[in-house]
Amino acid sequence: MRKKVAAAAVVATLALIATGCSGTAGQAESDGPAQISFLTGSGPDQGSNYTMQKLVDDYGQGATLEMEQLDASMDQRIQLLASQDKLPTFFQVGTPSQIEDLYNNGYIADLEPVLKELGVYDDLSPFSVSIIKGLYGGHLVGLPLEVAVEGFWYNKALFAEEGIEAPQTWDDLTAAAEKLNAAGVQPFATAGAAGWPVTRLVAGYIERSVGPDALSAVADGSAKFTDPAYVKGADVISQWASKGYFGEAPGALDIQTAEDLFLQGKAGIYYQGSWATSSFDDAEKNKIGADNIGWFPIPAVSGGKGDVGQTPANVGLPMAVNAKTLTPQVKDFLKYLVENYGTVALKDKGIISGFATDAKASSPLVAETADRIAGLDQFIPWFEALQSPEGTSASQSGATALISGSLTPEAFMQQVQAAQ
Amino acid sequence: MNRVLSDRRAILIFIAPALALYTLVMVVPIVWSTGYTLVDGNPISGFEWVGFDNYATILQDPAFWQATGFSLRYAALATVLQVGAGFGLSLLYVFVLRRASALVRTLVFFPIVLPTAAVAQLFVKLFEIVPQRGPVNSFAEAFGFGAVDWLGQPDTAFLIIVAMDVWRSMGFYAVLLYAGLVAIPDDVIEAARLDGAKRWSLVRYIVLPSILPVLLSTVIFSINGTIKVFDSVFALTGGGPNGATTPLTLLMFKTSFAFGKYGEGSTIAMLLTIMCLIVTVAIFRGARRDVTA
Repeated sequence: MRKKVAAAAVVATLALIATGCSGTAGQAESDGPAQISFLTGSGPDQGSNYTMQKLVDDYGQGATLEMEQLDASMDQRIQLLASQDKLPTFFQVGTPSQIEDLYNNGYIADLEPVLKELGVYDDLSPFSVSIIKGLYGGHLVGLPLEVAVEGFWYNKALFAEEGIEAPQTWDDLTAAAEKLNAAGVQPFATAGAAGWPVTRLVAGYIERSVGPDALSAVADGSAKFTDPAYVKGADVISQWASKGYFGEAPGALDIQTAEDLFLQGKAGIYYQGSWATSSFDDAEKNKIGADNIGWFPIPAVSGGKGDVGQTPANVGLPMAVNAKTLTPQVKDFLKYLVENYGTVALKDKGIISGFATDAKASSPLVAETADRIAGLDQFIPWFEALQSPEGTSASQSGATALISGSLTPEAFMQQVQAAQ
Repeated sequence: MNRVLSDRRAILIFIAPALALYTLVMVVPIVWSTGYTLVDGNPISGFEWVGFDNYATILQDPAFWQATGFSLRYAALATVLQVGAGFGLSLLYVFVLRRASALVRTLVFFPIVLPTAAVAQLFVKLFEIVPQRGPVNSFAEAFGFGAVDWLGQPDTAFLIIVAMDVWRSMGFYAVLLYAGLVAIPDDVIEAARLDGAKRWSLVRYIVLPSILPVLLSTVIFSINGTIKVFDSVFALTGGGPNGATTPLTLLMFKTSFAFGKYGEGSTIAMLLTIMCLIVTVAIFRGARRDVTA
C-alpha cells in the first residue's frame, strides 16, 4: 500500500513538472482592444521606444503596449522568439539577411499590399521605400522608422584655424587630414573597435572609384573584394592609419569615445550618419557648439565612376510586422502609426523618418538633414549591407585589424571575400 | 532499513524524480544536440539533413583549429597557474599565517563572487590606452617603457585573459586545497619535522602525497572550467583582435546564433565535448594508481 501511494505521488509530481514545462503559446486575440508588443532597439525615452509608447497612448481605445528593449544581440533574440513562435507584433530588425529569412519563411508580412489596403501607402517617401526594397530583397518588409544619410561632419572652427576648406576630392581630404595632423589635432574620430566606422570609409572610396554598383556587383558575383580596385580602398585607409590620422591606438577606440573626441574638439572630422544630430543637439555632450558643425559628402575620386550626389543612406532598424498576429485591430493601429509616426518622431525627438509629415524640425542641423534627404533619389549601400552575417563579422573584425596595422589591405580583402 | 534499501523497486522510486529531472535537463538536450549535428539550418529557415557534412566542414575550417589551439593553450596555462597559485596560497595559510589566515583567505577568495562582466570591465580600464592611459600604461610610461595597446594584440590579450581568470579563481582553489591540507594529521607533520624535513622536503614527501586526491579533483575541476571558458573572454575582448582570442565556446556561440548555423554550431559543441571527455579520462587513468580506492 505504501509503495502504491509513493508511486502515485511520484507520477503526480512528474506530471506537474511536465505540464509546467509546456508553456502556453500566446495567441493573438481576434477581438477586443489591440494588444501590441514591440521589440525596440532604442533606449528608454529615446527613438522608437519613446515614439511607440506615445503613439499607443494617443491612440487610446484600450490598446496596450508591451515593450522589450535590446541594443545588442537582437539577432539572437529574434531567432529565439521565432523558434518559439513568440515574435512580438512589431519588432525592429538589424540584419538584412535575417529580415530576408524571416520574410521567406512567412514570419513577417509584405507591407506593400497591407498599406495599400489601408490606404496609407503614399505616406511613405519613395526614397525610403527604394532603400528598403533595395536592401531587403525587393519587398517592403519593414517600415522606415528612421532615415539617415551618411557623410563627414567636421569642426568648422578647427578647419578655419588651419585654413582648410570642405574637401571636394579625396586628395583634398587627405591633404586636410595631413594639415590637421601636423597641427597636433587628431584628424579623424573613427571607432576602430567597432569595425564598421572603418568599413564605411573603405566602402566610400570604393563606391566613388568603382561606381555606385560596386558592392552589389560583389553580392551577385560579378566582382570580388580581392579585385585590385577594391583593395585600393582598403589600402588608402591603411595608409591613413599608418600616418597616424586615426590617432594612437585606433583599434581600441569605441563608438562613444570617438564621438566624444569629436564633440570635445579633439578630432577634426567625424564620419557618421545623420542620427548623430541627436548628440550634436545635446548641449551636455556637445562642447564645440551645434552651429560649429558642418557637413560634406564623400568626396570624389579623380577618374572614378562614382558621383558626389550618391549618398549612403539607410533606414536604421526597420520595423517588421509579425505576419501571424496581423489582426484587424493591429491593422487599425498600424494605419494610425503610419499616419502619425513621422510627426511625433520629428517634433519630439528630432528624428527624420520615412513617413510623410508636415512638422518641421526645431534644430537647424536636423532641418538641414531633412532637406538633404528630400533632395535624394539614389542611395548607395554600406560595406556590409549585402553581405551574410559571416561576411559582416569578418568585415568588422578585419577592419579593426586593418586600422591597427595588423592586417595588410590584401589580407583584409581576402578575409572578407573568403567569408562571402 | 536494510530491507528498504536492498529492495530494487524501492531504490528506483527514491531516485526516479531526480533521475527524470536529470534526464530531461541533461541527457535529452545532449541527444537533441547530437541530432542537430547531422542537419543544417536554424529555427527561422528550417532544417535539412546533411549527414556528416558538418563534421567535414568544421574539421577543415582554419577558424576551428585556431579556436581549439586557443582553448587548449588557455586551459593548460590557466590550470597550471590557478592550481599552482592556489596551492602556494594554501601552503601560506597553513604554515605561515596559521590562525591569522581567515582574513586573508576571505579577501583573496572574494573576486570569484564578483560578476565576470564587472571584473572584465575592471581589467579593460586597468589596461586602457585611449582616450586616457589606464594605471598599467601610466606606470609603464613613468618607468620609461612606451604605452602598449594590451588588448589590441593577440599575445598580450591572451596573457591578460589568463591573468584575470587566475586572479579571480586562485582564492577559490586556495580554499579547496586548504581544506585538504588541514586534514593532514598534525603528528605526521611533527614526526617529519623531527626527522629533519625542511620546507621543500616537507611539501614534496608529506604534503603532496597526502593531498593528491584533492589536488587531482582540483585539477580536473580547473581544466573543465577553463576549457569551457566563455564569459571572461566575451566580456574582455569579445573574441579578441580579429578572432585571435576566440575559444571554442565563443566560436560555437557565434556560429549558431550570430550566423544562424545550428548544425555547425552543434558540431563544434560535440567536438568540444569529446575533447573534454578525452582530457578527463586521461587524467583519471593517469591517476588511478595514486588514488587509494
